Amino acid sequence: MEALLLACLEREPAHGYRIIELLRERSDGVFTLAEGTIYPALRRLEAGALVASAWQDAGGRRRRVYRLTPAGTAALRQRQAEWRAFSGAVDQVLLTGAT
Amino acid sequence: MSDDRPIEHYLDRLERLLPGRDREELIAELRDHLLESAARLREQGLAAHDAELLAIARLGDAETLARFHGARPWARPWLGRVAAATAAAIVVTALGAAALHPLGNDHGLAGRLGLQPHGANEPSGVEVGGVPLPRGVSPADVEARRLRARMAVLDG
Repeated sequence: MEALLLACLEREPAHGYRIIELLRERSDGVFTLAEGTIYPALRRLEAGALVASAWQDAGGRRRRVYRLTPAGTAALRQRQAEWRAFSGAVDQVLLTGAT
Repeated sequence: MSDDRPIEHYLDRLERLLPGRDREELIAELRDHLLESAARLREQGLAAHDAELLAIARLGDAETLARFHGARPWARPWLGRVAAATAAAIVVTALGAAALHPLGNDHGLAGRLGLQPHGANEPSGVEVGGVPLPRGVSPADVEARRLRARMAVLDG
């Protein structure tokens, strides 16, 4: 979950609802989370200094917007590399001999 | 409570369940989330009230969300005290009844209390999910305990 959230924030800062939209859009609807679950995850990321947040005004209401920190960018790169290695290994095992 | 303002009712309820730290910020953040979600749903043709209800359903129930954010299951202290007192009364009653019961068995007070004799925790040879069960514990016992724990979570 945390890695997916970091990836959603890679291109631009976003608020919680927008992050959920991005997850849904980029996964072609596969990731439709119970929306409340992302906020504890965002808290953990912020506690680990991987994201930072700031309050903005959005049409008269307060909106918390998250952005990736340099440490978050580094963590995302590391998790992307780990995922490539893992998924590549799974492909090699699972798809060996497939057509 | 206001049935025509489900989001505000939901947030009021959640605010009572959440621990003190960061509560106001989290409520403000979730209010923005719910209003944004409801607005999108209205754009898709839902009536305002239905849009608010669906936005809340997608976010998740207040109790679960509060637990995600560190609320104790007994968010209302008086309810916790009542539960603790009830549990204590049950234990005291059970101990008294067992100690006074004339038909004990060979395992003394432990046996009277229904506790297992020495060796009862040795593996029985029966496994559930790859985990060996202690002797005297059946898979049905495990399932019953799992269901009771699940119901306790839901009731909480």
